[in-house]
Amino acid sequence: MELTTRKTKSLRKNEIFAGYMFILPCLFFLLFMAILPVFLTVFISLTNWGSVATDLSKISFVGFENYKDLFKDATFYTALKNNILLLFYTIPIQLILSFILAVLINKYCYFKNFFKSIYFLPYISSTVAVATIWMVVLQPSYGPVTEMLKAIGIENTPKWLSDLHWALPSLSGMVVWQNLGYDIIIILAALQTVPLELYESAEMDGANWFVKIRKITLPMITPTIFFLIIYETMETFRIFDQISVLTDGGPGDATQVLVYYLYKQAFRNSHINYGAAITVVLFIIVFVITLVQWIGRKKWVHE
Amino acid sequence: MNDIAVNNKVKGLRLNNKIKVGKIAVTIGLLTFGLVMILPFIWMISTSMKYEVDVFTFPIQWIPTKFRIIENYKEVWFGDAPFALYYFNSIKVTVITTFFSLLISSMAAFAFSKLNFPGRDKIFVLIIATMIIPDQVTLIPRFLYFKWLHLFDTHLCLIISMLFSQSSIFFITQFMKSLPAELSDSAKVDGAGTLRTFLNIMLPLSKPAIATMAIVKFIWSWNDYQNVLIFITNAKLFTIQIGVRMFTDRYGSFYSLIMAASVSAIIPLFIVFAIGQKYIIEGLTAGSVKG
Repeated sequence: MELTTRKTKSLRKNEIFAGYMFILPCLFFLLFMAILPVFLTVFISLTNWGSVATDLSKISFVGFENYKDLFKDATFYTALKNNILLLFYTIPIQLILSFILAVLINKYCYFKNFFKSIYFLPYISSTVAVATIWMVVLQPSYGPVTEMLKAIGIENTPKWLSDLHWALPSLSGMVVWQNLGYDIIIILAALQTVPLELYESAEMDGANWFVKIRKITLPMITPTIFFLIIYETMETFRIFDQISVLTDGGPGDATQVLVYYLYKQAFRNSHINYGAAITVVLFIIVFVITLVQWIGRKKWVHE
Repeated sequence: MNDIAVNNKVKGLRLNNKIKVGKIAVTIGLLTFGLVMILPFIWMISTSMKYEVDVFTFPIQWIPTKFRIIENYKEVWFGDAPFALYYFNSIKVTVITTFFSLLISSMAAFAFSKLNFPGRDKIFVLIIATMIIPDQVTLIPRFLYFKWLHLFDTHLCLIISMLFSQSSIFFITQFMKSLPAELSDSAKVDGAGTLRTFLNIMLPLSKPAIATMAIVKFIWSWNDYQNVLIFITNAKLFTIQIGVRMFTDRYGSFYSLIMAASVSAIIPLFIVFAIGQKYIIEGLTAGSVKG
């Protein structure tokens, strides 16, 4: 009896030890790749790191100087504004389109899986390659899109990505095209969870398809739509690859966004401290959005 | 059969036919829209096989009248920008990243799902909570680590940057939780040792979940551009994504060659997608995000 309890005790000890050993690599990365970086970034944003480069002994606290500069920096506001504009240019159209397509694919067509794949292809494709394709397709003077517009009689075609007013919308078009498939797949998955009986009883009451979608489908998948809005918002704030390949933030600052500006300041101009301050602002924005999601889930979404 | 029954049957058939016609119409509509969606890809492939002078002819030559396939691709792969080398680097980084990321993730998943130790659930929640920290927030600290550790400008930076994957940990943990506890418990009592339980029982049983996350990880590491852009300056260490970028910069207006480069960067993804579609879609709908 005593022997067995001792045995289970040592087994238990072993299990605890093994448990920690198995998560050790993860803990290491959790600490150094997630938690510490947040504090380190905040710390750097409060110093004069950039101007003293590598000489660590000369680093000193400057309080909120970097933030003061940042809030006087017109480019920062332009970047923030562009990020927010991108939200409005991409998310509504993307959600409406993907909802319509998902509903159609789900019930009203043949070759369901084939369509799923086709629409999904741009999403998994490398953004660099995709952006390169769009660069050529949107070639301003004789690219195929321009030629097609000319062929149907539109003469003053915009210069797309090198046009001050069209650069951001062109970019948005590309983003919508690339991410549409993801939204479709997520909405399709949500549609599977709507109980069929609901539709059947609605049909018996003589509801037409529009009523069914408005009264049954939409309310049932609100949590998913809500998730997608948050997810796409986050993705929009993280946009980088396309800008780097296509526009370098230009023309002017027409496509300047937060992450690209942070990259430029921190790594091209070696203003590490300034880049850190932008990072902190970015993180706060993302954090607030997540918070809204947490609170909003309970308030607005009836699950 | 009486008249009413016949009548109803006819009505039903008509309704059926109506639904069928509608379905066919929608299918055609979706097909058209799908074609528009993949038009840029078709344009890419077609342009990569053209003579430069034919690139912008209008109406568009979807099938080139004169082909220049071998020369175009030869120039991309063995010309000034060594795509063969970029490919090798990409494969190396992607395979190592995927392997170790999944190893670390499944080890943790095993502990979180089948072992009992103090603080287990809290640590798990903490890991999941850090999902909200965007990659970019860790960019500057990582840059400094790599400088301090003299790892800057090595492939190790890229690999380390991508190893930690909260979504894999989450996904595999959920899967392992669904496996019956008796399997791992009986092994424990037998004194099989935790390591052997993990290697011989849990890993093989969790293959579907691991494969799913492996494909997802493969895609995002293959597509990684930002890390390479910032942490790699040595042209010999460039991966395919940055290779395409360099190629575009250098060949400016040789659009046929640029498209051949893009095809080269995208093709492996298309192949992986064709093979593992089901896994990819499942993995990405499991709420996992890029990275």
